[in-house]
Amino acid sequence: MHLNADGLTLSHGEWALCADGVFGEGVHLVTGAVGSGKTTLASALAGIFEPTSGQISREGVLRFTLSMQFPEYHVTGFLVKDEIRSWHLPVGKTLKKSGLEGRENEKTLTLSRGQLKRLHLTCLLGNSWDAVILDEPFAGLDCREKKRICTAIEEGNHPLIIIFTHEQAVLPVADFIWEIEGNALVCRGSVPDAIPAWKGAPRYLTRAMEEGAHPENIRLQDATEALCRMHD
Amino acid sequence: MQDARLRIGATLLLSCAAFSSVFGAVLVALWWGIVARGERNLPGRHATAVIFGAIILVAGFTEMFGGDGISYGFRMTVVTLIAFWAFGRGREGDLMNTAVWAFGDRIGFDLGLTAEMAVSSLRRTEKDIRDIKNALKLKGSRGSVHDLIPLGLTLTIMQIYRAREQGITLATRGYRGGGTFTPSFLRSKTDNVAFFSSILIIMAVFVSFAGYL
Repeated sequence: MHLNADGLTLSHGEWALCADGVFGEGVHLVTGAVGSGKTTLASALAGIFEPTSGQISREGVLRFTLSMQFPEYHVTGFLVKDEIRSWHLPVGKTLKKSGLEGRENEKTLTLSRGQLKRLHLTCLLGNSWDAVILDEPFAGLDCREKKRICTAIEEGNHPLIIIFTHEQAVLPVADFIWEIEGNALVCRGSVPDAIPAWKGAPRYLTRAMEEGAHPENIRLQDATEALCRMHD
Repeated sequence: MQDARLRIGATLLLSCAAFSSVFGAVLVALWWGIVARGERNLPGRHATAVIFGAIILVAGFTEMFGGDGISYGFRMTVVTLIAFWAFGRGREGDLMNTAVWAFGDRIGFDLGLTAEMAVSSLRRTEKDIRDIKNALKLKGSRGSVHDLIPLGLTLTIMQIYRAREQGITLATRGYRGGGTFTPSFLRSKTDNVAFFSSILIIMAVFVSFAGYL
């Protein structure tokens, strides 16, 4: 099962982004500065942005989805319970998972941006997909909720997850790291070998590596554990 | 046409001329064919079909029930083409520049600010509609008619929230009405010719009316 970007060129007027690579099973983290083209690439991989050249093939990927940065766009249910039902999920369990117990009769679009994002991601990750593309899933969430989403990503049963983010504090366990650099998608490789080559790595990772530690993954706890191992 | 004052003026004159008579509409269509060449800004096929489809539908009903539907359809089509030209050529700040130039720092500033906010909201709505439609498609669209309800609801509520946020931002920055703004305008060589020709068209329409009376 894989998602293949074959000689892709994406453009908006003068701006263009080149992407060439295969996203196999596992969790892929794609990072890049704001405005580097993460959303455009995520949309192209989801099939809702037409590439200027090249093609995207999805081998063995039958059910796939994209979580857009703004959760409002996905809303189809007037009340919170209707929204949960629109994802074919049980209301009570989903409310509990998203930390919104007792709010099933509230109007979905009157929830705050953060609450709506929580609800949307809980619903989306609560379904069964072959491939999930998440565009800035941590935007608008506090640290506790970011961790909750990381847990949902790690515990989910989605074979292929691609996360587009510029998050620098709370990240999930990842298998592969990609970066958008100089208008091109660059694969840094698999984790942990890719970590030293990752230019946009969070400060806690670079600091740990400066200290001589070798984190096994990209989370803060991986950096801390690597530092602890050094001092044992 | 780069000068916003001339473009807005020409839009008003041409719209009046096109809607007033078939003769005026023919002249404006000629103007559109010559002056607006390369700046027509026609929307995508789908939007074009919806907009002109609606005009044809109304024209058809009018014709069926004894009205002059063909004339109405032609005149409205030309007015719509002028609207595409005017709206698509607009740059951020055009309405503010023109309103302050015409009505001064008090009423002009308020009018300009309101118009700029309305236009930027319209432009953002285009992107919102595209994104909502894509999100619904990914979620499992139940058909374009069924999708209209969530699309309309989300769009309306998002606009209300944005309006409230804009209002709070303006109030926080101390806005109470009016302000200081120095209008500036660009002008190309063809601007005067294009504007002057729109004056000739409206005059020709008046003359034809006078002759008729």
